[in-house]
This record gives sequence, structure tokens and C-alpha cells, in this order.
Amino acid sequence: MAVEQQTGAAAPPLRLGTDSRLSRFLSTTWRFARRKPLGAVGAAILVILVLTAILADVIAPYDPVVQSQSEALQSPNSRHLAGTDQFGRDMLSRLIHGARISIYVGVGATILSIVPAMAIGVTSAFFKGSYDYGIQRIVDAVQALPGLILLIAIVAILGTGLWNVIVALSFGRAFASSRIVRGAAFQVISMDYVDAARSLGATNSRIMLRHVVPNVFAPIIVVASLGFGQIIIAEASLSFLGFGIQPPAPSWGGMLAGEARAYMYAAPHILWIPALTLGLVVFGVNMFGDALRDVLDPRLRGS
Amino acid sequence: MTRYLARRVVGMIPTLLVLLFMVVVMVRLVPGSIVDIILEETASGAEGEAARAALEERLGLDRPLPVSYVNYVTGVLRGDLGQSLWDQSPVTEQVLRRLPPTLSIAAVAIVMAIVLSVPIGVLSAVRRDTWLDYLLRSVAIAGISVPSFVIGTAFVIFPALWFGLSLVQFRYVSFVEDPVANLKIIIPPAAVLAIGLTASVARLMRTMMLEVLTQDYMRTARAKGLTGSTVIMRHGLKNAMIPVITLLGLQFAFLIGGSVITESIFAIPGLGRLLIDALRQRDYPIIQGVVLTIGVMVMLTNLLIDMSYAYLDPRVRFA
Repeated sequence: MAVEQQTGAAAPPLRLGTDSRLSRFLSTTWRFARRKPLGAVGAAILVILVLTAILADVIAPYDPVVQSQSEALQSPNSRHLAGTDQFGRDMLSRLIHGARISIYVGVGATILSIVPAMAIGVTSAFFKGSYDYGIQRIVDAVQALPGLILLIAIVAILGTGLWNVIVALSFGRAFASSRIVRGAAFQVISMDYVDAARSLGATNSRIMLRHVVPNVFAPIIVVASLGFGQIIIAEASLSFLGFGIQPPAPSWGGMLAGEARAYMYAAPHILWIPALTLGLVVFGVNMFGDALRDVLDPRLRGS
Repeated sequence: MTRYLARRVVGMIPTLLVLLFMVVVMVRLVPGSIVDIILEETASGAEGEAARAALEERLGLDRPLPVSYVNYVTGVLRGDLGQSLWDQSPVTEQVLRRLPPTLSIAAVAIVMAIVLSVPIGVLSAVRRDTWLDYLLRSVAIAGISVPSFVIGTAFVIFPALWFGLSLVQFRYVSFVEDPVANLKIIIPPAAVLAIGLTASVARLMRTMMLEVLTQDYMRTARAKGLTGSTVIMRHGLKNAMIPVITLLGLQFAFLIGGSVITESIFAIPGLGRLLIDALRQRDYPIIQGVVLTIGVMVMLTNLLIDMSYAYLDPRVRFA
């Protein structure tokens, strides 16, 4: 690293810029890993998960949904590294494609939840008064339902399947994170620069979009990273109950569902392998989110 | 205190009305015609128009939304949550019948979690940054990470695999009938829920204890010659417990949500199972009734937490 910096210093200014930015990124990452070893492990798990999801078609040895009755319920072996399930489908390929579903759902629901969370939280903090009161009673009502119950209620309306699950998950997340956006937005709105903008004649929407929204991004990122693990668990739980991603699509939760349990004596690996994978991934995501929260926003600690 | 309580209860009404509205509007948000979907699935198309009209009336779809909202709310006030589409039984009766198993599992889980998490948290804080602390913290984080349905599945497969022992009882027995048999049924699912709960409570317990340990009154207590354990128990623990109690109350929602999972794994006829079965059969009045009941239970728990706050902390009462 030291060598890199020296060559950077000798180079023309433009290269110096990019070079030091890279080395700054590297040193920040290194410091993060040193200070938060568990967070670094979590980050590594997350990177592996994302790579697996992106490269699923390339690295999966078999088609995840093609059945082969003659090969059913094999224990892990050299041809099927994680064994096969009751339909003779390759477990490893199903786990790899399951990673893609988890990432789709996690990323999809997180992104989809950010805009409504911002809209609810920022406007609620900005307009205050009866508007805020009314909106917050709606948030209260949604929050009164435990996560899984809310999900089931939404799935009862929309039906099952990948997109409906993503929409359902983002709905709950949006309301949950809107509370934190609102809290952060209250602080921002009391700042002098908001008053300054107002006295210069800025419209409400301009103040909200140009001044408030950019300044509540840090807590949003932390909340989103902590919510990511919860979303993955929620999708898996819903699929486990049979109301999430529908078979034969390989959701990790679905792989543990009712019918697989019938084979727990004959082939316990079809249960413990997906269970372990899911636990490890959520552990990784949580550790990373925890560390990120400590670094980015210590005020949220313990929340 | 009374004034605070009155204000808090009145404050709940708007939220309750919103919750009721969400429950009523639910059946109208189903894409396509809900009546067609249900009739198709129950395969009772033969009765034709009469069946359609009856079903629409049952779901309150034959009237404009405000009217059916008012009807539903007045029904709820009379304790009437409508009738099951499946067997015409009153929803209220079904919900009440399914409530005791769910609540007793939640109660046992909370007791287990308190018994385990308080000593773990205190130990972790007192022995801060030792190998014991690291071990306990790692286990706690693992406990939070593993979803309850994974723990539940493990509870079912490993005893069965290793000891040939089945923790799933297929016939539910109430506590009044046979307490021992009832506890045998209640304890495994409660233990599954208690694991996640213990982990999160132990984490908070540790944090609060660490904060309390640095307070001046702890030093004073030690300086006046009290023994180590008295200082920790009488002065430390008592002060660290307040937020922990709040967390336990908040986690009640988690326990009720988790009942959907544990009750389907352990075949327990509770509220969670009722909801799942109703969803399979698209029995909307039951789905609505269960969702409303759970929402109200969580709101009442939050009220209890706030009241305990006001009781424990005079600053809240007089604010």
C-alpha cells in the first residue's frame, strides 16, 4: 500500500486523485475489518452470497428444478455435493439458485420500501400538526401487526409468488423505516440551513427534496442494511409456510417446508443443509449490519 | 396517573379505527373478483346467482365501503366478528377457542427467556471482555440470526433422529384437562420462541448492566462496604431491568407472529394455525378476525408497557 501511495504522489494530479481515492477506500476497508472483525466476516458472507446469486447460472452444476426420480434422496456425494432431494433435484444447485431468490427479494423489497418510507417520514416531519398525527396513526395501525401476520394479511390480498412477496415485504419495511426517517427529518428541519432556504423563498417540495431528503440518507442506509437480514428471514418464513415463493422455484425457506420433513429419517441432509445455509447468511448479514451501524451511526445502537 | 391513563386510552381510538378500516378494506383490495375466486375454489358454482349474492353479503361487498365499515365496527363492538365462509361458525367463537394455546405458549416462552437471559446478560456484563463474555455474545447473536422455523425444524428432526423421540403431539390437550400433557405440548414450541427472545433480551441486559455499572451510585454502594453480589443484585440489576421489561413487552408481538410458525410445526391448534388454515381456504372473515384480534392484543400490550413506564418513572406521569 505504501508503494502505491508513493507512485501516486509522483504521478500527475489527475491520477493522484483516483489513486488516493482507491487507497483511501482500501485503508477504510482495512480499518473497518480490523475494528470490526465479525463485521468483516459478515461482509465476506454477504459478498459470497451476492456473487453466488449473480453467477448462479454459471456455477450451479445442475438445473435446480429438473427432477430425476432415479437419483432421489442421495446423501452428499461426489456427483451431488449437497445430495439430492425427494425429487432427485441437486441440492447444491437449488441452494445456489435459492441465493438468487433471497437477493432478489432482499434487494427488491429494500429498494421498493425506501421511496415510500422517505415520503411518509419526511412529509410527516415537515408538515407536522394534524397531517403528522393522521399519518402516524396509520403507521401505528400497521405497526400493531407483527411482521409475519402483516405479510400473511397482504399475501391474502395479493396472492403468492415472487413479486407479490416483494411488494408485501416492502410495505411492512416502508412503514417501519418511515419512523426512523421521520425522527431524522425532525432534526434536519430544525437546522439553520432549512430556515435559510425558506427565507430565500424555496418551496416546500424544494426544501424537502433538496435539503431534507439528502440529509436523512445515512440513517436510511443503516436501517436498510439491518432490515435486509429480516427481509431474508421473512421471505424464508413465508415460503416455509407455503405462502411465499411457490415450488418448484428453490426458496431456502420452501426447501424446509412440510413435505421435506417427511424425509427427515431417510435423508436428514435435505433439511439441515438449507437450514445451516440460511442461518449462516442471516448471521453474516446481521453482523455486517451491526458493524455498519456502529461505524455510521452510533446513536442507533441498541435499537 | 388516571389522567395519563385516560389520555393514553383515548389516544388509541384513532389507531384502532384505522386498523379496523384496514381489516374491512382487505377483501376489496383482492385483485379480480374475490367472489369468483372463492366460488371457484369451493366449487359451489351450481347455486349460481344466489350463492354469489349470499357471499357478497357475507363479505359486506353488497354495500358501499362506509356502510360495511360501520356495520363491521358495530359488529365488533357487540363481539361479533362475522361467520366463517367454510362452516358458517361464528368467527369470535373460533378465535376465543384458539387463543389459550397461543397465549400460554407466549407466556411460557417469556418466563423461560427471563430465567435464562437475565443471568446471561449480567454475567456477560460483569465479566466484560473475557472469553466468557465473547462466548455468550456470539451465542446470542447466533440465536438472533437463526429464524424460528429453522430452530423449530431442528427441534423436530434431531430428537427424532438421535433418540427416536417425537416432540410433536398430534392431539391437543388443554391445561384444565391434563396439566402434565398440556405442558408437554406447550414446552417445545415455547422453547423455540424462547431462544430468539433470550438472545435479544440478554443483549439488552448486558448493555444496560454495563451502563448501570459505571454509575456513581454503584461506586457509592461499593464504598459503603456492601458485598459484590449485593451491589450487583440490589443496585445494579434493579436499575437495569426497566428497559428490559419494556423490550419483553415489545417482543410480545414477535411471539404472536412466531406462533404462526411454531403452531404449524408442532401441530398446535392456536391462533397462528387458525390464520394459516383460513388463508389456505381463503376464509376471509376468519383472516380478518384473527388479524384484528392480534392487532388489538399488540396495542393493549403497548398500553401496558406505557402504563408500567408511568408507574416506574414519575417523570412520564407528570409530563
